[in-house]
Amino acid sequence: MSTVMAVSPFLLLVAAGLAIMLLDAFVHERAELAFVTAVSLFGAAALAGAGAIFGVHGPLPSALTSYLAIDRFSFFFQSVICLGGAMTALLAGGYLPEHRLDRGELYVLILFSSVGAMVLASAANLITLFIGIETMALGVYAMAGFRRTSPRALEGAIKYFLLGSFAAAVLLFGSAMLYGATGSLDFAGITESIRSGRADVVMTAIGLPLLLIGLVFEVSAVPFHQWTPDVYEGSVTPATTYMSIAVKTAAFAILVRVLAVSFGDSVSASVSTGWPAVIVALSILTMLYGNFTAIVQSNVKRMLAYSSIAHAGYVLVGVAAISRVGELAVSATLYYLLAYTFSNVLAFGSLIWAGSRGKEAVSYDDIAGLGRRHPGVGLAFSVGVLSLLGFPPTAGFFGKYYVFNAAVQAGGGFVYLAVLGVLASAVGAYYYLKVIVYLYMREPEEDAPVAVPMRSGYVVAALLIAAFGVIEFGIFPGHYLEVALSAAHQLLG
Amino acid sequence: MEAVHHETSLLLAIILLPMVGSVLVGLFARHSSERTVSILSVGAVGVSFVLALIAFIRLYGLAVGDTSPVLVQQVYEWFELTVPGKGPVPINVRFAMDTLSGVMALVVTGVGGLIHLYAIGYMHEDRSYARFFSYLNLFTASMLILILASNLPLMFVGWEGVGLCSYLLIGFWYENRDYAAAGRKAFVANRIGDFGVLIAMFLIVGVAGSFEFSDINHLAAESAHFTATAAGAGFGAAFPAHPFGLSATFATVACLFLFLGCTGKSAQIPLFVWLPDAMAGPTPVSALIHAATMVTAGVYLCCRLSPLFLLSDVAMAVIAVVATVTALLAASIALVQKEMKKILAYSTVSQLGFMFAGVGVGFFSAGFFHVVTHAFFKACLFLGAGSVMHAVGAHGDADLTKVGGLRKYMPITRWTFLFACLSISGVPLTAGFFSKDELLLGAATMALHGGKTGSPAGWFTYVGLVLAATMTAFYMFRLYFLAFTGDYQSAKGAHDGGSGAGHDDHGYDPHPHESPGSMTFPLIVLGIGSLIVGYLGLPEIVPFVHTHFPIPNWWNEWLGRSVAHLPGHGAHGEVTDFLPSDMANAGGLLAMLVGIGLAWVMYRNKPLKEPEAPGGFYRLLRDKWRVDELYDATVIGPTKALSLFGGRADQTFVDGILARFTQAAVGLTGWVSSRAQTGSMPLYGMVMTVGVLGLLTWFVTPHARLTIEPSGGQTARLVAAAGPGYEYRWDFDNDGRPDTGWSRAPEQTHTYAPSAYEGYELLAIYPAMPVRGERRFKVGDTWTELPFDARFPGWRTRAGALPPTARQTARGIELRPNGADLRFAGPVEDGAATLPPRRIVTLGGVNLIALPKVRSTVEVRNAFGSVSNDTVEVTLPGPIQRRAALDPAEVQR
Repeated sequence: MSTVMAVSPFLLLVAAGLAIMLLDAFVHERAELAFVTAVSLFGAAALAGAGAIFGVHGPLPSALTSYLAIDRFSFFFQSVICLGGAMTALLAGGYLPEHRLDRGELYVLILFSSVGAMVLASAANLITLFIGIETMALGVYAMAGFRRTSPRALEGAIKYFLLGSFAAAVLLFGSAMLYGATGSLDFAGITESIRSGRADVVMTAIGLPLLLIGLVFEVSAVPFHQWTPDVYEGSVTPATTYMSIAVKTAAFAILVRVLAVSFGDSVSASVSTGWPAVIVALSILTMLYGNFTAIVQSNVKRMLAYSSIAHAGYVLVGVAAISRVGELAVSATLYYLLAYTFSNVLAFGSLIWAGSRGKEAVSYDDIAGLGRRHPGVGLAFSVGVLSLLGFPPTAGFFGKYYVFNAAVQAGGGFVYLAVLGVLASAVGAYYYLKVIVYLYMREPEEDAPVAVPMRSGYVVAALLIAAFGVIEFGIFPGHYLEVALSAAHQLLG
Repeated sequence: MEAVHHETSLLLAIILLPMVGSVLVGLFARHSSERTVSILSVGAVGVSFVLALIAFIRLYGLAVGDTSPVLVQQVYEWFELTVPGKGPVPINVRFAMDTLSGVMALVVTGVGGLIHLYAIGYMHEDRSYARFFSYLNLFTASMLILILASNLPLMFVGWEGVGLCSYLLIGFWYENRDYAAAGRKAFVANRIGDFGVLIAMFLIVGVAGSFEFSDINHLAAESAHFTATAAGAGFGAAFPAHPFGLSATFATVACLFLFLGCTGKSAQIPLFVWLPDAMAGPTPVSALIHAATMVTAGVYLCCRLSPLFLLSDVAMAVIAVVATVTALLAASIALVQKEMKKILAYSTVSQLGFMFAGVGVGFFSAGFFHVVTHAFFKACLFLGAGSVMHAVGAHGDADLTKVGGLRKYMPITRWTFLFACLSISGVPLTAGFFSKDELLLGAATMALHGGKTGSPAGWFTYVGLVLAATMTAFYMFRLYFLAFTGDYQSAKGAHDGGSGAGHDDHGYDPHPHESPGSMTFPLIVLGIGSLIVGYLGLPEIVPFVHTHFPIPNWWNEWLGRSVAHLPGHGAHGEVTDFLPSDMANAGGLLAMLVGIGLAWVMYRNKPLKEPEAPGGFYRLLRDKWRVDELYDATVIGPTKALSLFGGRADQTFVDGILARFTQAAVGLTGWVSSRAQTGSMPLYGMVMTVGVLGLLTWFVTPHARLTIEPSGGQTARLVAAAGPGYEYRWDFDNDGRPDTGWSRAPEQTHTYAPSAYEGYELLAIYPAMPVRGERRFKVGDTWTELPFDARFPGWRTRAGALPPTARQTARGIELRPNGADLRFAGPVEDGAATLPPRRIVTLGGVNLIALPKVRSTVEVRNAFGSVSNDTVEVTLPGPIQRRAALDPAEVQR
């Protein structure tokens, strides 16, 4: 595989980003930028998806391999990130003009953040990891503050920035310790050094948790989650969507790569003494906290923010199981993130669709009776939350099924983790079904302002794609699981 | 016969056509003309029939010699289920057509297509014409999924699909509350049955490790073969079961749960009560779903899994008896009803009983033969009744007191109805005669030869079926004479100027007319079918002529390729005993003659006269044995009371206390956690810092985790969990003084000296019957009774003796036999023996060993110099060799 081919998704996105900055000065209809952004992201997703499906053949460019991992695993994640980004761009194409926020920066931010997320997901080196995470984060901070006139948005952006800097500092410190411990910056060298026992034990023991913290901050695992609800609520909804899918996906990708490969040896991954215990603890905290706090929310957007925290907990179940059943758990994690991306776009997108200028739908009351008045919105929203809940035959069901199955196969205490995960999902049913209850079984109060769905081809297109994915992954899960399995196989093999 | 698989791509198309038809008609043609709707939906089923026919012809061509061909189409694998001990079990979307499902597919699309055609005329000008056809197409698709599915889960999709369509169609005119209630009743009864199917499905996959019918049947057949071989070899019951096979007990449980499902779907006792009410739906629905196809799904399922059912004598006997009772009960109710469709509904329940009786006596192909002939004559009867209702303008049902003499007005309906009546009554050479004859033959064979169900059940089935057949002939011809002979009652009423039926709010049309062509054509086809389809299963022996025909029974041979049969009966079984066949013929003919004769005498050319003061039994029959009332009193009433009570309890206890508590707890948790969401940055930073410290703490502290694996004798392997840069120090005897220095090896092997023993555990080895195995007892420091089973030989020799007691001492376990036999080569002081560790003694029939317990500690130091430790206790095992013969001189009392 040639260098150009290996980085073609990156090149395409960077070129598109630059082009859009130029175009922005000339076009009148900013929504057209959404189209260009979405098309280039779908294009990049197709390029990366081809890499994930057909694999990597021939000699790899040696100039790249110590910085970027070129394998099915990274292509899989690049593809998922691009798909999420593309659907977000379409949502933005409807949302921004409707709410008079029609500025072109958001598309540029989406493109460059996606590049950062893809670099992060494919990092083969601590430096690349840091550059990727910062490229992604800087774009996302700006997205969070996109609505400049809103104090909440600015507050969220500043909080995100400050806490993110804290996390980045911790991560950088951890990276430095690992470099000191192993004398290598690239993961291959770190792996080799740790497996051969040459790595300094003290510095590794400090470096690994710090690196982990930098990554679990981005997936908003408890107790590194507190920025999430404030930022998600304050941001424009397409930006929220983007954070909840692409950022998380990229962070999980590198988390899995670091833990499964560099720290996948029997000592580091020992359930009694190594990282799995930490991941299990984070997973339990995250599932419980996310679900219980989501219940008491009266704001749907905030509920979805807590729901995204809860989902990070489910994914962590799969990550923890990697220590026992490597390929099975890695593939389950990959599948979960794919399914989650589409389900979350569907839920957030429906929320976007449900509101219009001057009256954005945010609370449960805003969507009361919407399903009867506007069956399309109701149907999309219902499918979205059912998939997040894990209702068969949707994508979310198989995501949960594979992840919990991996935990059960891992045996031992992981079985209890799976049981806890199932119980936590049952708690989740309360607030997901509450959406459906409000959509179909409640009527808005007399003379309360009623949310009127916006009219936008972009939003409808994004929702159609997301709904297609949710159903497709639920009815034909086997094909996609196979791709995930071969990615996992290449990562661990 | 070995199944030979052939790939095909027709099966999916057969199913998809009506499915697509349903979606098109239901979603896009709601406001189109009746013509468009009819073309779409009838066309879809018609083409589907043609495709099914093509597939069937291919199947027929493949069925040469001794093969049993199966057309299969693997669409895709939905997902894999991980079953403990069985590995991954795929859940496939996979269709298969073998000789059994091929016939059924033809019936569903063929008879179904005719009924679709009939419905064009019947539903003409209904407000919801498109909705009706959409449901009807959806039903056909679901039914095809049910029969063509190659595995249980996919079959269940169809099973639920037809249930849903049945519900939708019974309550089709849902503005009428009674009709909607009838739909609900059907749904609830079916849910109970579906629960049985689900349980059976999970049981089967847990034991057989596959959902595919072919795998389950293969395993069942192998198990049966294995058991038969074992019995033949003289091992009897003591012979171990097939290692991976299905036991008879398992088969009994699974089959009874499956049969529970069948009693729901196929209206058998105890869940049959929904079917008569289901006639609230439009008549084509009664004909298609509640007579010809859906209700026979239970029989189909039993045939599909026939090898499994054959494994269980108990389940088969239960099915035969329940089915016979159902046949009798329903037939007796039909004797006195006065509405056409009601009679036909009970007749359907009764005929389904006949089919299950066939299944229960192991004559699966006979049962299924009756499914097919019944599909023709019962559909014809229902459509005939519908035609009558159409002619006289009756709604809901046709009252026999208001019709009569219709042969003058509607000759086609009359003749086809007569054909079907002849067939169902078992008049020789009609279809019903042959299929009923086979069923009676099955029952008679069982009665005479014991067979699977044993003679009493066989006799019961035979006698019951003959009686039910007599009643069938009677009520069918009662119905025929009352409807088609004599004078038209409503015409009279109209002439009387409103004194008779005229005042009735749905008085019948005084001028009945023959139905349109789209309705009479299906009647003609079905009527002729009622006469001739029986020739598919021409018996090998012609009645009363004891000659062996050179042509074998085509039907049995054809179905025998897919369906199991009892040993000695089947495709190529030589008939040597003519008695059962004579019994079947005699019983069938007698039933037919008596039934029709009585009806002729009582009802020909006479109007229906209800007795002025009906006798108790008549009333009981007219009130349908008051089964509904019985259920109301015994099941529904108490259930309602229970739900009321439950509702109260729910309101006070669950909602009031539990829910409020949970709500408060959840609310509090949520409140606390959302309080933490203050928006204040310092707090957020602090929480993160706590997290950072937590993670760091885990990685910088050592985690000691010790496991001890006894490796025989007094030796054990000690393994401490490995960690980065860990060093280990061992204290094997747990005396507080480390036995080794710090080392990097996380594993040690240690042989424990007796001085290290920390206590003892008593191991009891039960050598033989009645219990085999081992048990461990904890023995305390004070005398405790040993909880042994008193059944062991030599246990208590004196009446009133105390059970043996034991206690721990430093030297071992002290044992007081209290009069039981003790074989022990050592001193007995003060009635008590001290068992030294790891030596076998015998108390009564039980071998006892005192096993020493030891405790070890590992200390772990990590690179930061922190130390942690873990202590584990383990019981060392006994000697490897089991009890050697003891010298009788050692026996002490």
